[in-house]
Amino acid sequence: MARTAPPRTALVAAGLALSLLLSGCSALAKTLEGGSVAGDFPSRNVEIMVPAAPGGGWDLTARQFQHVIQEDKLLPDRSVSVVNVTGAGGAVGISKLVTKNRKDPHTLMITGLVMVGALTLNQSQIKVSDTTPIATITAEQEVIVVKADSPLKTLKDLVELYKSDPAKVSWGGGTIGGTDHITAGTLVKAAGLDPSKVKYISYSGGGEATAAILSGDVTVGISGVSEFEEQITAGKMRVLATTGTEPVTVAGKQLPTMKSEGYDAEVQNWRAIVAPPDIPDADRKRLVEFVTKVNTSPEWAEIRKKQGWTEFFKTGDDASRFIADETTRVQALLKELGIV
Amino acid sequence: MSASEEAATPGVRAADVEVEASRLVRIIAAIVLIVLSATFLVGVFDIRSPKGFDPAGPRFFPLLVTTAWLLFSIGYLIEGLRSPKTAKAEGDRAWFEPVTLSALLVLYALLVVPLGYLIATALLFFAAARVLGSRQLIRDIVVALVLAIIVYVAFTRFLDISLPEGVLGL
Amino acid sequence: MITLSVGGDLLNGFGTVLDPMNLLWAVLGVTLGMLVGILPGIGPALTIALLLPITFNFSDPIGAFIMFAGIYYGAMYGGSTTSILINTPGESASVATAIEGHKMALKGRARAALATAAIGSFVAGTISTVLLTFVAKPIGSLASHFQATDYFAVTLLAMVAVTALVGHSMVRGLLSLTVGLFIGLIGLDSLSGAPRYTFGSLRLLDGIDVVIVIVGLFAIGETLHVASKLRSTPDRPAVLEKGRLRTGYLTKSDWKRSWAPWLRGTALGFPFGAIPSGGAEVPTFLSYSIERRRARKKGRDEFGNGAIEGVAGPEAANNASFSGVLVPLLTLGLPTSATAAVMLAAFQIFNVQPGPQLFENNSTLVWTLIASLYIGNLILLIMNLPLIGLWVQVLKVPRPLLYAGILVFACLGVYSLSGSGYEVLMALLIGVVGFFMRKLDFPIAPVILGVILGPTMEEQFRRALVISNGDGSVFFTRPLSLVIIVLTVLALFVPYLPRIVARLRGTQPAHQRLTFGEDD
Repeated sequence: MARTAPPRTALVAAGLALSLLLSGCSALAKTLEGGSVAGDFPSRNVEIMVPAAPGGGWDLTARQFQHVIQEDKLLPDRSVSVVNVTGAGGAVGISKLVTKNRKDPHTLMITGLVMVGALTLNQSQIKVSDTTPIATITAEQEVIVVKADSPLKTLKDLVELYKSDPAKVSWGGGTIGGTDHITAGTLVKAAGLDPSKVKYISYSGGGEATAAILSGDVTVGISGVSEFEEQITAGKMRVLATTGTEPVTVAGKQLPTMKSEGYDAEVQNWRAIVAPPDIPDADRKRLVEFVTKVNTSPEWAEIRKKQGWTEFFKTGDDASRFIADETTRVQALLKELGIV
Repeated sequence: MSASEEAATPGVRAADVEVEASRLVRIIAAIVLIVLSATFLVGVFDIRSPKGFDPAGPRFFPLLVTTAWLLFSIGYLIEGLRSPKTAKAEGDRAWFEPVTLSALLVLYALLVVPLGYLIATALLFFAAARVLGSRQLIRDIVVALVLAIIVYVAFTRFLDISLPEGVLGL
Repeated sequence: MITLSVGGDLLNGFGTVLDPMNLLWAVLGVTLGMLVGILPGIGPALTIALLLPITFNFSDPIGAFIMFAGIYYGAMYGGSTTSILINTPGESASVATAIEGHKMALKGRARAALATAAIGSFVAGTISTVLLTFVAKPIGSLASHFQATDYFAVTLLAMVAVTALVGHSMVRGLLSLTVGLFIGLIGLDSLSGAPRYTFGSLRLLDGIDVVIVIVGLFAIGETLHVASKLRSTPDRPAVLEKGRLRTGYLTKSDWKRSWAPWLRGTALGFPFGAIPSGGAEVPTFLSYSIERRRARKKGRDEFGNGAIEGVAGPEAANNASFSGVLVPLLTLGLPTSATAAVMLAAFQIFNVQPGPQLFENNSTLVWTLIASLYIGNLILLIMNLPLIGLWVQVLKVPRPLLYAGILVFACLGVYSLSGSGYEVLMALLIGVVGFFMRKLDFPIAPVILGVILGPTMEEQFRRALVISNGDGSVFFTRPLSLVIIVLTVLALFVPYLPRIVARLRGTQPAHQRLTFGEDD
């Protein structure tokens, strides 16, 4: 697997005048490099930007995507590279995409629910819907767990405890305003309770959150299924519910969902692939076809299975609509959670 | 202050104390520190916090840190004012070299992407060596080029880490 | 613990590592790690992040992990080498080493400093790997009992180390610390999501990477400082005391003064690495302050002037903490340091999930990894003792070329953090601060302590308070936290006890100014 570890080629528009100057320079270089005349994809090498550090979910998605494209030779004569642009939960990456890469169909970016939350939290002017969505590709289920010896046996127990006194429940999960936080808020809202009382403790990653759950520091933990799978299998954590529509099986046991437990709520940690704004319609169509080819590849299905991702494929306008809806929902929810 | 210092740590330390800055410079530094910390202390009130100054909220630590900073800065000012007026200051102070080096680094930061790693780095090395007093033109040029090429090739070709290609397009 | 089966598994692990191909990967890993790690301003964590992708090309995870262990040890030693020789640590764990190590180099004792670091690393690495082999599981489960209040108490304990780092003046030392704490505040507050001191810049939302702070303060700050003194100090080649490889470049008295700090460093490094509080920084700084205090108690205070104990202890602690870090990583899947997080990513790339099941599901991999730690340590020692003679030649490089080179590598290091010139500018800004700190005789190390410990301290403090609904008594009602807090208080005041008692008895005329300005 060819890795171009950490990111490199470009400067990031950071609000500093000098970086603006620089972006001017390399944008110019790009234009000189070979024109983005209407509808010419794929006329150059393609770059997939990961707006986060190597090693995370977005990065893995991009690299597996790249892998499938190379294995199946979906872009003959062209190469695909993965570039990481880190910063501010993806805000730096997306701002580069919509300013510097504008109109360039050869730069794609991975995004997802987490970025929607982060941009809301950062009070960013740029939104995910400012890009040209190509397709949503995968989704990961979230799981709500407690320590194995917790008195809480079902999701209902948890909701009842919260109802009796919200201060008695501390919710542990990842970044504030991220998928885990959104999950907590969604559940509480679906139970008809006040999300502003949610005592959410953020941890820097699944590992740290796992430690906090096992030590009994937090009452309940939320993260992606794969993050807790090992502990669940080992019997150190009990699952109260997963958050998708389809039930998930871990260690041969089918897990309940929020829906099956009687709460009309659903959270999917979806990931999507987007292009810069203002690309020609013809290119968008070709990109959709291209991504569809990846999605239908048996190789991709294999990867999905291995990584525990569910297929979550919406293209073109469906994808745009979905992303717009999610943005509205998340913005409202974060407001109700009292963090923006 | 320095009297009790000496008393507490006799011997080796005394020789080690290198008073490089004059009393005036120290007093100016103390004032800069006081202004900075006071500004940041005021800045605490700009931090978005639904909980106000609750110890569990985002303002509590900044308040502690900036207050401590301000107090220590005042302490430092007092230390400076009390220091003997005859404190030994370094004779001819050379500002030219550090300022030029800083300017070089700013240029490097701006140019490394458009020019490319190789050229920018060779230029940085050469210019920095000259500023730092090297007088052997040929040696400096050769070392600059060789170093830049080795680093570039080693990182991009063997370690698979991309560095900006720039105008050379290598 | 079934020791017998551990022995058998480990033997199998050695069998795999000693396969010629795997041995080659180990040597290659150590060499690469050392070559990159020795570049000034590029520390172990960065080296690993840079080199990790190479191991992704392996189809076989075992070879990859053997190489990875080699890279880590090599990078760690390479990092110490530059800290000692030219005072440019690339990461926080070698900051403590740099303090005395560089002073030793200035006195012509570079060989001895490098040797005590190499041998100490070997001793600590080996002992802690033995510990990892046999007590991984019990210690691992202990780590999972740590709660927010306990973490907070640990960071408090680590803060005590500042007393050993303040230098000549308490006021300046504490100012350095607060500036470090302030830098740590910059960015999005992780618990509330509120931006703090970001001045509207997107870049600052993530805070300032500690690598930038270290490279800026040390590599760039030092270069600017040297540049300003060019005219007053002629460029003369450093003196180098002779040393003999046969005695490990150490004199009899060096050996006598080093062995105990090695062991104490190991004793600190392993457990502190194993509890999830951030890996090597806490034990290295603690080791430094302990060695300093012991030296003073014995009336031999060479500290601040090139004391070999100040290199031996922190280096051993640094190396031992790595095996410690592996304990929660392997047994629980908890990454407790930046390096561990990178390793976790590597595990996941190979579809290996560390955690309670790892020892059963991937037994060969785990035991091979552990066996490769023993081998990696040995390779490092065998390669490095003879190489010391070569490394010290760095000191003979003409000053303009040496410092121009430091600038080049410092820029490379910070540039590769995210691939933009922005980091270079930020490092320069911090370098200018470091320059003035040198001019005004402010100690540098407390800044790093503040940047590293401040955020953890605040985070854990606030988490504990939120969980307890604002009840501050939690810090004193949990036995573990209470014990650590009592230790902290003892560590702070015991050294002063004789003086305080004497003063209370009136046997000594009171100083006009109490502890203010004290050097301890």
